[in-house]
Amino acid sequence: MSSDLDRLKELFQGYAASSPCPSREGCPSSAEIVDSFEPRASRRQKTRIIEHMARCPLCREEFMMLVEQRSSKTSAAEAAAPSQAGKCRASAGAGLLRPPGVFWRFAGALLGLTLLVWSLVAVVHQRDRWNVLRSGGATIRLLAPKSGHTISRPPLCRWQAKTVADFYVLELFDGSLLPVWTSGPVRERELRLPSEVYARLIPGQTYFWMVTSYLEQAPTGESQMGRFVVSR
Amino acid sequence: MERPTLAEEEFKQIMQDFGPFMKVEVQRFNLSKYGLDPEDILQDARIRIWQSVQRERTIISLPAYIKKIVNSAVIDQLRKRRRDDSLVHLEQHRCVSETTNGYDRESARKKAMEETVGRAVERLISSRRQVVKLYLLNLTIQEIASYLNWSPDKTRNLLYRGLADLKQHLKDMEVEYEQRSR
Repeated sequence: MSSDLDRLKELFQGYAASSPCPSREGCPSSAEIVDSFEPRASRRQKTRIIEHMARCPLCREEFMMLVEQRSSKTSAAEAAAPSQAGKCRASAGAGLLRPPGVFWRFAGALLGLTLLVWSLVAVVHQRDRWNVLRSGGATIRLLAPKSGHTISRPPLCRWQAKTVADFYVLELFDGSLLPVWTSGPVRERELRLPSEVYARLIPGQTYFWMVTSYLEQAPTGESQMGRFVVSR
Repeated sequence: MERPTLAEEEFKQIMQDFGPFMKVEVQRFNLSKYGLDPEDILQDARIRIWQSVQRERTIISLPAYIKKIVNSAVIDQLRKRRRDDSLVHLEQHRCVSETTNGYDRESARKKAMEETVGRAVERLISSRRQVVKLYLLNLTIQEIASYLNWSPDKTRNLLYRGLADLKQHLKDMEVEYEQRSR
């Protein structure tokens, strides 16, 4: 299975490398690539960068460079960064370091607070509606084993479904998300992992599981992924 | 002797406060791999900061801004370096093209397979396609989650669904992409 994914990676990377940009006219600017890493960057911005760099080896190299840099464990950079507040005071009144006026700070804070309160009210107001929608839709909640728990014997997997289903299918994956086992149709809302499947699990490894509901052979809903660690 | 202007004083202050920070930020890149000189990047970053000071731009978070300037400077230096090298590469590429054979059945088959996989990936729905593309380009789930600003669970879920769709598309296209063991 792992070689299966490796093969897909190899082929896709070959595809991605097959059409280098003839010129850099259509490439995003360096600032656009850097900005796309910001948490506040829009989904559209990120999508544009991904779509582009998947076909442009030059931009891909730059993108990967930033990914590597962000993944590097060096925390010295943060340590070396002086505190912003101190710097603002150091040269207040001059261009770059000029702190925003007190009025604008206050206005910004007030606006932020208003938005926060409004969001909370909106969330509370919408919650009931969401619940109704969910119950008519496809929510399956995994009950046991609790996500992140360590198990030492074949677990009894239990779930709760808010939708009508003919049967459920439980799927088990390893840490790389490769399928390990798929159950047959299950009528109940629980299933003990067969001991022969459990015997194949590697101690110390994390496994993921999820449940999909079916009505008249069509999938009607699915759970989030649950996670457990095996110990023997 | 001429007195330094306000902008000059401010720039000096920034360099004094953030100089070490800039160096550390530059060192976090594996620059030797790309043949880049850290000093060139620092110089480029200094020029950009000086220009910002002169334009009297107001920046809310100076460390974040400087970090961005350094990152952009690294990429621009890489682009500059590539431009400088491009003529040499173009010439080399021309020579190689002239000396290699026109057609190789095995590589043509592989190329067709790559094209098919690429097309199958393009058929995925947008949210899954982004995750699958990044995963196939060798990013880890953590790196993808961090870039897309999603939880690892959500990323994992979309990746799993995307890969399943991709395999289904390939199956529908009757493509056998797995290499048979000999």
